[in-house]
Amino acid sequence: MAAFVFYLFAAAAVLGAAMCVLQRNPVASAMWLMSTMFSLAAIFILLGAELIGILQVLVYVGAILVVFLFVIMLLNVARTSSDLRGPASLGATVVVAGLLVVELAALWQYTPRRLAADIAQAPAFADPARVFAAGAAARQATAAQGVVGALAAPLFQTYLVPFEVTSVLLLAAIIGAVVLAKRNI
Amino acid sequence: MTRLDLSTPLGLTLALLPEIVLSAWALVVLLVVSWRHRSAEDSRLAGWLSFAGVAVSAAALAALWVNGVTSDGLAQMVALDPFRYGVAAVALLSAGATILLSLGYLERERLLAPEYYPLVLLATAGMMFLGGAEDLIVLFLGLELMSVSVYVLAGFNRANAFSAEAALKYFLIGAFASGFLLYGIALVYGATGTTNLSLGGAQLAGKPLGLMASLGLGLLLIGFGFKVAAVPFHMWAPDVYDGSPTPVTGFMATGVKAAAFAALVRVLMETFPAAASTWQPIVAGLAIASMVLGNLVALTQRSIKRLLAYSSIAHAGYLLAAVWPGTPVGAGAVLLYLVAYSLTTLAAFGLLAWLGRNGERDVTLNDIAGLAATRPGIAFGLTVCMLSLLGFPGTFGFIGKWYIISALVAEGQYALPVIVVLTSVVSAGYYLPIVMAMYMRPAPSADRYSAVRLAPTAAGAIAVAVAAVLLFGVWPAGVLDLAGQSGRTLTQTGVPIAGP
Repeated sequence: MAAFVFYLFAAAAVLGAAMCVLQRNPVASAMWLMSTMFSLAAIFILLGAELIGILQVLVYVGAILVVFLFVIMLLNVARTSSDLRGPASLGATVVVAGLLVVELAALWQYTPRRLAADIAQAPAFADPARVFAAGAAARQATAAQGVVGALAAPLFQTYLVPFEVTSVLLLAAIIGAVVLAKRNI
Repeated sequence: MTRLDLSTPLGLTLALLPEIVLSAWALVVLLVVSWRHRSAEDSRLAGWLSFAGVAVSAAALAALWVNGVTSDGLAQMVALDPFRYGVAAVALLSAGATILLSLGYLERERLLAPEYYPLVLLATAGMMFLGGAEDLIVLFLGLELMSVSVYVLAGFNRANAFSAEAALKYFLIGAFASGFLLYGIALVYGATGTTNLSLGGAQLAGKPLGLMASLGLGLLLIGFGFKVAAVPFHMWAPDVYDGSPTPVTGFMATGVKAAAFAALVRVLMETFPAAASTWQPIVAGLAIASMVLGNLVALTQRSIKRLLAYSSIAHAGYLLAAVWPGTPVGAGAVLLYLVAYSLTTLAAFGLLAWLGRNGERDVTLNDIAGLAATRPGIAFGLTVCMLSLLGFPGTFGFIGKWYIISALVAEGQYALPVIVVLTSVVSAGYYLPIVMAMYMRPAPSADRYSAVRLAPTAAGAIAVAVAAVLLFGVWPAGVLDLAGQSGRTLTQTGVPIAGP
């Protein structure tokens, strides 16, 4: 059952990503990207990372995509003809795509078991058994404070000041973008 | 002497009160202007509201400073010492003067979008975070908050191609410099295991600087070099200063520079005091290159605005010379010189803004010839500014340079003071012709300057600044004491955390 749900969402994610690239209209592209993000969130939840799944929806679908749409609308991106035609661009596309395929093929042989074995043998900065022993550190933190608590305590206590300054920084950036891009809004 | 516990919400709020007031005030002004953003009157309203915000923030800062608030234990994220208060005061002074100078200027140049003023407030909050940061993360975020706001201000005159060019150049170079700074921060974190400045210093103390920490220090110096426009990282400054609206140029040359210098001094004195032999030659090299090149190129400039841009590069050199000792006296000298330089430069750019049109890019010596005959007030103000920038006795600029030289000599350094003096003599070659043009050359026509009108707010701000330059020039005891006390609090106080 879980495998079926996984493949369903995985297929949806790949389809969304492909359509995002293939669409001519930037708004439609953004919408397809949104469906990819939703599918990824579902996969995170299947993996037992509920918080990351929810954050995926909140941050990527809720915030980042809205910003994308804002930018598209503010800049009035006209539907121009693609300047990626021609033999040079085609050659570059084939080369980059080929490299990615080779990389993917190379990754194929890396099973989680082999990865763990490689890391255990390599001279590491940290003790791999403690970092990679089935997520012992993360499990300890989540057992003590819950998934949300393990993240919230550093974010809202130790790093509260940077967190708040970041929000002011983002606000300043938005004001600046609006002032420069559209004065008579 | 009050101690604040930064780990409690109340302690943190009180410690950050000036910054919080300023950020929240910017939001309120934004809300107000979202309803009122049509006429010149609305722009003025936003300006006066923002000025009130600066005043309230300054009151909060004064409350912290007068009560001598310090941190209970190790300061986390933000420092609580007079050096931070002094730098925040310079930032607020720069913001207040910029707002007053902009009030009439924006109307004259038809730049009526009232978002200008909230952006000035946010940039000032960024300066205060940058100058008061006790943690590399806060330092970086403060720098970005300041820079992002100032990029927009630089390009605020969208109709002017030079303003757009200034904004784009500043943005690209600024992003480039931020990359260096961020990579340096990452390496310093990798070498010390902490982003706290004092703790990092404790981790690095007592052993030779490793490769990772050296690289981190080098990248930090490059990043700061760009931000303070020190030679050879200065090439963006003349075009950016030249193209931006003139009050914004004054803001960039004072507040931005002051905050970046404060952060540089704090990082070098709290995190890298043990590595002084590594960074002192680099700082000395940057200082000498900036003083020599800034002053020599300024000699060849015709436009007064561009001349002041090169002069500000030269002043970055004097300030770097004050950074060199890495002693409390040196830190005090940096702070004092920042105050003197900021007051003078704000007044100079303020006066320049009223002598020209369309961004003042083309105001040359010919455009101020004989100014003293018909407009003695303006001519006197500009003369005081030029003499103070030159370091003439009796002005605040002289006290600043004298303090820098005494800080250097106290450390047994004689080459840098000699270069400071020699390059100051060279700088007379471009400051004095401005004075001579105003007093000794005839005006092209009798009513040449009858159209020059200073807005009352700008005139008031400039008069106060010029009066302060003269007052502190002859009676420097008070500010000298304050600067000396501020510098003394800047030392590495952390205790090493358990190391490997």
